Amino acid sequence: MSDEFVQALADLEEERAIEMAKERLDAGEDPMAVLDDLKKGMAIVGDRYDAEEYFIPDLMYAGDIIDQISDLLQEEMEMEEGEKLGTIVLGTVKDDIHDIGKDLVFFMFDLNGFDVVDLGVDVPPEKFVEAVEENDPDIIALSGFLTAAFDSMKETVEALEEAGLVEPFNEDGLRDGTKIMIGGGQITADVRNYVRADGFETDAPSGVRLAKEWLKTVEAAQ
Amino acid sequence: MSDEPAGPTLETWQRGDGIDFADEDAKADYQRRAKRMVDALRGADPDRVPVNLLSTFYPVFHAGYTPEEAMYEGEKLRDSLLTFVDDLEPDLFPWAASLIPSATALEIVDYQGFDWPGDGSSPETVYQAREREYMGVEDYEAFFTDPSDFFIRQYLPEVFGELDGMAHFPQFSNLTAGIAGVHPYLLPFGMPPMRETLQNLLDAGEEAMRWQQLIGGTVEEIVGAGYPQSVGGITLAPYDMLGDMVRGTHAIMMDLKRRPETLLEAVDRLVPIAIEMGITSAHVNNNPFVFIPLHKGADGFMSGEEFETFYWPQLRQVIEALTEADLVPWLFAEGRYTSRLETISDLPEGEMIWHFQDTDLELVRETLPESVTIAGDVSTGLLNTREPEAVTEYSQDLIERMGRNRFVLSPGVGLDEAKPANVKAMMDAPKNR
Repeated sequence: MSDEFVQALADLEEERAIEMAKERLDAGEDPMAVLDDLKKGMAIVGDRYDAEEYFIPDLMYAGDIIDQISDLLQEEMEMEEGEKLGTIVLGTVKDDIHDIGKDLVFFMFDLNGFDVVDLGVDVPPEKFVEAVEENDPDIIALSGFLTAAFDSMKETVEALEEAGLVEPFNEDGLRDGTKIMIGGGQITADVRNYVRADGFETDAPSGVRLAKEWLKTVEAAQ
Repeated sequence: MSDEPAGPTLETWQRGDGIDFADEDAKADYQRRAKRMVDALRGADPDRVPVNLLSTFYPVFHAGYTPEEAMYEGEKLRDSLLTFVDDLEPDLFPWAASLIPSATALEIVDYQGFDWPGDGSSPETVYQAREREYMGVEDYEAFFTDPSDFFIRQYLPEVFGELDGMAHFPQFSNLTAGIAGVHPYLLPFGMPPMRETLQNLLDAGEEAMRWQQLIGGTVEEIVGAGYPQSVGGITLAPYDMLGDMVRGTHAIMMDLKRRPETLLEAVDRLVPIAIEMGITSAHVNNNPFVFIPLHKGADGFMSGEEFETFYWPQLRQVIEALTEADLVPWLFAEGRYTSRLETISDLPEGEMIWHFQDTDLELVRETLPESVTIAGDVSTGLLNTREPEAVTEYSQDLIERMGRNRFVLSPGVGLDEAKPANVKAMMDAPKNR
């Protein structure tokens, strides 16, 4: 049943996947085994999105299915956190309430094994500073859809620098330590320079790829 | 019967029919600018590439006001529009005024669809759509039975906090019972919730009239001084019509997956409504250009197959009906449209503009029919963060690549904030080549 369950999840067969999860739990199976399969199924969803076989509605649909199955699992167990690839503090910056892009980034990073601290939307610089102090992330991801976000992102980077939480921007290369990524529909290389972010992307899979590259660079340096 | 079409056309727009010009010089200026645009649209060698500053709040920022001031103090919005025209002498007067309503009117009816400055968003920031689920799955049936009745009795109370009395609005079908239907038809209008709602509508309507006289009057003054207005009408792709403000982004995407047949029926049913909206708004405003902002069909927002089922066929019908009515659709493809170009190249005949935010315009030129006019591409990143020289260089290179015919230089988006010197550099780029 395990393979069929993974396949049903990967193919976004909502009713069948939920029914199978219930059956497995009712039969007394270890919820951890169901959770592992849930992750496997959703990893395939992520791969298909990355390969442009799935699109934003498919990811949102997958998110809805995950929520329903997670609820079933939570009734049975305390969710355990596995080994994480890295930690990301994520949020839509001050004065911008757009959440779709930010939520997709959350979903893709989560699927890929990152621990994501989601601060929500309209997040002021001081809240980013607090969250970075608290979580010591590998990457800070700033999302924004409006042109107003350019200045909010810049202010956020400055606040993080002033608090000594990220290294000063070096135009010859990346910051050492925690890095800053920006993303959104109007983000370009010009905006990255203006904001002094370490990198930018305009879609979630590319953001994940960039984060993984950064982590590899850090590992290689150690 | 006259052969003249009932509404505005490119010819009536170019002549300035129905416009009260300040003087003969203003009329000549108007016609010179309008001819530039019409020549560009028809591939008739305009004197230079026209520039259109597709914008929402840019004139407000340009004049040094905040969006909150512009939405609450009409005099400041008026001043913004006049300052913008004086400073930049644009080829086309942007459609910004219609996109900035009175915040007081919104407050009176407690509009829930957007956060605006002073009501949830920061005073310095533009309004933002909330995109909630205003119509539940269970409401599709009511919508199919009678869309107008659904909008009056279910949608209005959902989207306007101070119009909840509309839930008691009597159904017009009561009147088919003759005299027996009259009493039940009239009764709800005497009930307190309805009286309160009607009073709110009267107050909001009064404020909207005041705003119209001031802002609409300013636009008429500007057009009469010699600046043709870029667009007058508006409509939406039927899928966006349902997704933007009725079902909401998340809900319509779930419909795409969970109930595609219901969704398809709803989108198909909205086609005549979208056509009617485009034609009526163009006629009322005496302007043949019909703006169609495209939101939920961009790359990534659905598969190619879904685009060809739920989005494009219905939008194409709208485009076709508008061009048949001698109107000029102005499609604004927000986001990226690279994967859609082959599909949308199957266009009906007639003049139209396709305006792109983030799609390679040279690829667009290669893929869309030659008769299509292309606009857009100049990024807000460039206009907000670089220096005027970089903007001039980029704009002139773009003109070089796109040619003088069937191209309108423009920012990729409806511009809000940008460095004024950069905007001027973009607007002057075709003049200084």
